[in-house]
Amino acid sequence: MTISLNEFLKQSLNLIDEQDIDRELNSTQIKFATEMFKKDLDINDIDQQISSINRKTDEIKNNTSEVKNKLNLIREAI
Amino acid sequence: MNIDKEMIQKAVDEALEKVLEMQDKVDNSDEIIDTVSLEDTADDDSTNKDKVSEEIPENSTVEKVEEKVEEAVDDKADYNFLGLDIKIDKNGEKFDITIKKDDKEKTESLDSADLPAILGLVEDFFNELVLDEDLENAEDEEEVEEIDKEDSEKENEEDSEEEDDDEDEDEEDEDSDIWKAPKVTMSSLRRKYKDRINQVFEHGLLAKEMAFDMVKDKLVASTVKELIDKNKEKESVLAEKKAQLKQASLNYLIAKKLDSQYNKLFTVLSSSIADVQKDLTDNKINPELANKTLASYKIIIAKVLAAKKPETLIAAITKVDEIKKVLLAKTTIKETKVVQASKTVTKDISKKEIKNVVKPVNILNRNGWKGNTTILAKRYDGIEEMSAEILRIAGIDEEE
Repeated sequence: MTISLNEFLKQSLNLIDEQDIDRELNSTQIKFATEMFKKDLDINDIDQQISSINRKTDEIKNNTSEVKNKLNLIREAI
Repeated sequence: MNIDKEMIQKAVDEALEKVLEMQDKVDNSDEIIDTVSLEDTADDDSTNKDKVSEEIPENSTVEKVEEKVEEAVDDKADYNFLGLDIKIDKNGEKFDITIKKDDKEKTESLDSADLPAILGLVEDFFNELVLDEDLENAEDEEEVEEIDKEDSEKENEEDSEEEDDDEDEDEEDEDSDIWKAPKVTMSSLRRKYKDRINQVFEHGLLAKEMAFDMVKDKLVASTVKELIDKNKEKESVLAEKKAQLKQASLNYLIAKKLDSQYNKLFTVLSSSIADVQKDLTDNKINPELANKTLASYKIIIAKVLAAKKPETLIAAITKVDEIKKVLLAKTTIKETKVVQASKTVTKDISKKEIKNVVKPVNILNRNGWKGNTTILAKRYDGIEEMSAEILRIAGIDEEE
């Protein structure tokens, strides 16, 4: 019983069922999901950094406003 | 002929009755009884009592049942199992097993008529039945295809250019026939390769995986494309967030620098204005200069309050410093003039006046040495001479 390589491949392909495809899809999805999860974590981390920096910037701006008020008082006084 | 259930049941009942009798003897006796000897006596009794018991060998109950089955099988027997007619014929030392269902019949010769061997034959028979049905279906399909082919060939004869294509199709059909034709029973294959079933199975799986790898990319292409698109969206969001972080950091640095410069400017301006006030109070500067300086400071503050870059503040601080230096320079010049003026006045004072100023007053003899009535008067009698000598050394002529 001899068959050609094409026939052999054809018969081998017939053995592929939906479960094989599902398995492959799942592995692919898991791979991408992992990458996306890492990116989500990065985005969350950057968001926290931005909010922290903005909070500090606001504090500094408040201090600057106080100094500006004092300078304005001096200007009015002279 | 079926296996005689009544006969087997009778043999089992007799064996059970014998056991119960022995147990009864043991229970009703006060003496210690040897159960082995009791079994022997029970066997003797039973031999005398019943003819049926003579046919039962002196073995265990299971062995008795097996012997009964063997006896039944030894004879020519027909059985019906799972809809199959099974016929067992003893042919010398071998057994001819014939299995029949509808039109299909199969005969095999076995060394022994044990149950596993017969069940194996039954399994093979069913496999062959299923394969035959598949082949029949395939043949039906082929017939339909052949009819279609004949029709198409008729059509194709009219078109001579497509003859080559027909030949190719025929070749392909032949190839598929080559593959379909050698149908081998699974049972025979299983028997043939029973020592390598796992290896054959693994090889088949490898072949499947290899073929799957070849087409995998196409199969998952659309799904992967969706995933890649989502991944790209995430990447763009991430890049946007990074840009926001960079801008926030820049804003923080600018705000910090501005705050630092504002504080510095406030300090410099406060001290400068305080200096101006002090100089004005001390008359070091005139009111016009003070007003002019303060007006300059006012302009600087107005500019600074609207500033959004640290450079503006730095320039303002530099400007304040410059104004401060100019003011200091003017104050210094004025002070120098005052000093110089005071020096000129000093030169005009006569040496005599200086002498009067410089000459120390001796509290002991300020009213004349003759008026000193203290006990130290005698010791300081020469104070006038000493004072004159000092004045002479200093270059101040008393006579002048």
